[in-house]
Amino acid sequence: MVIDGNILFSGLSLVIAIKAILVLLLVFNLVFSLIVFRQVQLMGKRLPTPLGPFLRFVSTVYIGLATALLLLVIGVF
Amino acid sequence: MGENTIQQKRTRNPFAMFAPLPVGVSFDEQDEGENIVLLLRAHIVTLVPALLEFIVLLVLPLVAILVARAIGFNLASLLAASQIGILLLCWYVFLVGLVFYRFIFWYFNVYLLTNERVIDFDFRGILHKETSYANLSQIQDVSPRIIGFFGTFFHFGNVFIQTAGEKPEFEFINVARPDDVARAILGEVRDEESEAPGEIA
Repeated sequence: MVIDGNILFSGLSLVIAIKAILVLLLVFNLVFSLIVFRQVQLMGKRLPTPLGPFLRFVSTVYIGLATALLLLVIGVF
Repeated sequence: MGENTIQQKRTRNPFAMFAPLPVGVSFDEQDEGENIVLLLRAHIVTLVPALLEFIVLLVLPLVAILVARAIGFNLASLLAASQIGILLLCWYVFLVGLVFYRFIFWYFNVYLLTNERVIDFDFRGILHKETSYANLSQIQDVSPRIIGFFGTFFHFGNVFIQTAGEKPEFEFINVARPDDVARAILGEVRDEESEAPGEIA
């Protein structure tokens, strides 16, 4: 079986391009999650509601998720 | 609290869009003896466009795969199954973030009527939030407005409040039962007028 070098190269380039874009988006997502966490914290302080602690928990989990996904893409993709 | 209060029963639902006497809610500049008479959020119907957007984004990867297959583009020839899985995971994590953001945007955009003032907690964007206050004694005019098919059908609309304060006009946007809201505000204004100056009751 003959492997076309050009196709292989373009496939690899595509993977690298996808990975670069994905890492960039995930970095933005991480920053976004941190801002959302801070907003939830501030609004929870300004307007305490029964749902406040749960929203803080969800925003914390989301930061963890965003970080884990960023590391996963950098390491595995 | 005034006799014009729309409902005497306390609201325990944390998601309520029209919450008389909400339980467990306070605000950081609340004075002693100041009670929240009514908490308002945008009507739940105003979340329908966001819900539709969510549904579209939820099925979009599936549609994209089907379209790619139909036009003869095989993603599996370029990416491994694990890589496609990671791409999908990223997409759904972004989606969860977007949904959460939309939710807190709705949840924290709150209008409060207390026995002393009206407060507008404005959460306009990720980096923009604003809080405006107007004492009941400064309120000059309150006018509810229901416009359009959805507003009439689901009974929601805007309440315009003209004040003599720093911010001349308050607008409660897309709130449920705007006429009841206006009545409640005017009731509290009347009660405030009957109190001695500086009295909090």
